[in-house]
Amino acid sequence: MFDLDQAISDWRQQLAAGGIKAQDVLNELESHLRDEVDEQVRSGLSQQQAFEDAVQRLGQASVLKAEFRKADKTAALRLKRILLAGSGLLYLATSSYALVTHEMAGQERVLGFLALGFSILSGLGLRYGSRWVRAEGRTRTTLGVGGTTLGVGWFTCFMLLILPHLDFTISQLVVALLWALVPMIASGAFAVGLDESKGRMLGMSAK
Amino acid sequence: MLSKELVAASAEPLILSLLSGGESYGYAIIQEIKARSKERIHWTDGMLYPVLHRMEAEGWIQSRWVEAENGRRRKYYSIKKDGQRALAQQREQWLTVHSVLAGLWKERYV
Repeated sequence: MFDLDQAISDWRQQLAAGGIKAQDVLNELESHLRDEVDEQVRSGLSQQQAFEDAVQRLGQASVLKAEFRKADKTAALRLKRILLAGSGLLYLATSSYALVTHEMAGQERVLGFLALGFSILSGLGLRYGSRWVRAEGRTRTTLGVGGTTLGVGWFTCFMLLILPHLDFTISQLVVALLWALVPMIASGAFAVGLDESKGRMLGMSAK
Repeated sequence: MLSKELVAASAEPLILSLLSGGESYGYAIIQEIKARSKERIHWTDGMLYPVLHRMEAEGWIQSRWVEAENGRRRKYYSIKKDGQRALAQQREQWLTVHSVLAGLWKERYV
């Protein structure tokens, strides 16, 4: 005698063994399976036939797992965007706070805010501008990695080779650091933009 | 029957359009599309769920579990504001393709 609950339990175990382990996903697929079995039984199939049919329609665990992995990648990309936006806002807020509250000459404060303005403009400009880069594959990766290396390299040189030779006051140091960070932020934004728009040139787009 | 590629490309706008009319769950979405397309759009049942999960990760739709009268729990999806925006963009793109094709075919076949 066919036991639907037992068959569904076995099927869930097979899916879990095939890599679909999230209970939420398994519950949703089970809900679908039960609806489909009900429908097939109403149209005249036996419960066992209906179950076997419904399982086949849902597809193999390996295929489903590969598709669900794409959804996980989308979630990770969204989290990355939120973290990047949060870090950018935190950087702007703390830098602005330091420039406003720290005792410094008016000219230094203006220079500091100019550096922040340049960071925003170059960061946004290169992030969105990178969408028009037509290179794909290895050239695209090289551009991203090369740009980031130049930005980080410049900041490292500044900190290790240039800064020790300069006799700055604290406020001058703050302003100098903000300017030194501009190329690193710009190159990082360029690399992020390249990564996010990867593959876009292969598809079609409409205005 | 539509080609695999076209079915895949049209899945998001179809789901968004359907959900813009009210919340629904996976099985009902499949049945609705099947009926509206007179069975010409055939989705592999299991493939809908990864698409729904991806759209949820994009922030276009949201989900909640609801218990039906018969005690069965179903995951209902509803469209979010970002989903409405995505739908408006996709609608414009599909209409562009449609109007270009319609124009070309009119010139050729009329």
